[in-house]
Amino acid sequence: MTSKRWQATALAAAGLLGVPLVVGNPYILHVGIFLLMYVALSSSLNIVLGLAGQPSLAHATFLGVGAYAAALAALRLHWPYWVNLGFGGVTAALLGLIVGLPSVRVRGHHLAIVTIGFAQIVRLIEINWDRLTSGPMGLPGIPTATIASRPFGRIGFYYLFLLIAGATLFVVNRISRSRIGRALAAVRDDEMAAEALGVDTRYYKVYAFVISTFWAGVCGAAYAHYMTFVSPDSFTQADSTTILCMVILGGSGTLFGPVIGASVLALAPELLRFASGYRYMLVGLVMVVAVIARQSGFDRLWKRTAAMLGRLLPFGLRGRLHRNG
Amino acid sequence: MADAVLRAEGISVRFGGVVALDKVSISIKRQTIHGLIGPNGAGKTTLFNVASGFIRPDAGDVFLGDDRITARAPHQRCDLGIGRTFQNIRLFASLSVIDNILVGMHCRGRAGTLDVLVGTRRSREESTLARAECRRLLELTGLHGLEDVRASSLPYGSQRRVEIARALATKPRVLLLDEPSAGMNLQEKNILRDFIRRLTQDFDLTALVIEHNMKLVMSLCDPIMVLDHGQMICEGSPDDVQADPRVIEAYLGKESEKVGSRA
Repeated sequence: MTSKRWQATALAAAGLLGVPLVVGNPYILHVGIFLLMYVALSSSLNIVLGLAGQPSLAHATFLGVGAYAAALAALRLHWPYWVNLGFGGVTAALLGLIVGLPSVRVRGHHLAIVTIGFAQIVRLIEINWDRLTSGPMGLPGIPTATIASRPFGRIGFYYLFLLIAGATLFVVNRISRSRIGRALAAVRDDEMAAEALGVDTRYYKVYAFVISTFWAGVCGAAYAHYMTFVSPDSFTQADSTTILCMVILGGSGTLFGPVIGASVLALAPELLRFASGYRYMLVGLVMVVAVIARQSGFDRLWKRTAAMLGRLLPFGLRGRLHRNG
Repeated sequence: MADAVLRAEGISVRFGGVVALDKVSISIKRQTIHGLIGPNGAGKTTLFNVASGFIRPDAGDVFLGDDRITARAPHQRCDLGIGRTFQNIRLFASLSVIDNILVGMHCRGRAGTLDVLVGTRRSREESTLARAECRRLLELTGLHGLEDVRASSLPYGSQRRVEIARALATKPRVLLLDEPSAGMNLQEKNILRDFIRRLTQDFDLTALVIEHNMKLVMSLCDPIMVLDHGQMICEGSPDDVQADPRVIEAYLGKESEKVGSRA
């Protein structure tokens, strides 16, 4: 990293750390928390989708698995939240391992459908295994996270999600610039050539699923303790699709692309509240326009805008990683 | 054969009803440049795929040195020392030239997830060494200065060279080159020939080359093996091969005069 980049990162971090000190409004903090959660989710999906080039349409399912794991651990076993964060991550990663295994044989669109099928199975388990999950009623009364026996509150959760989002980005950054990241990129670009050059393509595909779903699970655990309630309706196919859109919209395979995508798609519904009933129609419109703009030279569009803004903004949209399409 | 680096014995491959390879045996001696020729569909690339592990033969075994590697996956064979290039160049399109070559160094690296996340000395040293090695390979292949260019944006001939550099980065004992001169002009072909010769001498490398350009094969390779309809019909020196009536009939038939005059 160049020193300029360090400065920019430090500046952004300081800004994000300072938000709760300046913003007292609980609604804005809540939006900020969800934004950070979506940043972590899209960045973790980026590992499997962007770095390794494997489609997954079940990312919200792993969020749900982590959330249920943490909820059950808290309610039944009375584990503290910080243990549950790891537990949620590990549980999701184990399921990620199971979903990753078919990727060894199944490719592209077919793999996407396999992940959808998996999402349906998990959802049906959440709905129908009454004794474990309370079915469609969900699991209420999950204890909130505490620090020094005082509840976290919104500010505490803001920092928790900031930590998780930062950690996810850190992992993406480090991995993508290492021999592991190059192996993943090789798998993404050309599996046959990757094999011929000594990359164990099966291992790395499953690896990407495991790392990616681990962070989704950690997010889920934090979500469970924040909302104090989980139900099957919180983790739907539509949520998986939204996260997928965030990654693709921002630029899969780039470091900051998913951050931008998450920001646009998580903030748009809030900013468009004035449109009441037409809100989600407008969100859809934003997506369509953004994707078309991207396809036809988002980079140039961005460069022109960036040139106009001078050097006010610290990050380039492209991130530093290799673009995938 | 004791000094054979790569051996295949009685290899048969069938695709449905088609016999792609029929009890083919090869034995590649150390530091030689073997040529593999034959008409289209003769089974040359199939034999390459068997040697590098992408196709499991229906019968027969592959040996690297004394080790039987028939059941090994392609990436394991790469670890063991088989490097290859592809007929239709298969570079990692989104990666830069140096990253393409660094992928070739993958199997020689050891840094794991924790090394990478923590940024241990091991991973940093490994990465520095790998980059230095890549620069050396770029120098060797005449690609220096192109490190950060996206591989897919290079001209055809340079892409071939990146592919060879990438295969060399795996530190192979045997290098399988599938039509390395395709799409090259005469001058580039001559450079390629000298380059492959130099490699085998300087790096204790053994090469097996599929090549359609007769002039190049005859001046570069010895011995030359000829495949036709999945069968090895002839193996010998360039002169032997050109004189062999079976070869002339199967492959050089129409062009025998032309080749004869060139040689």
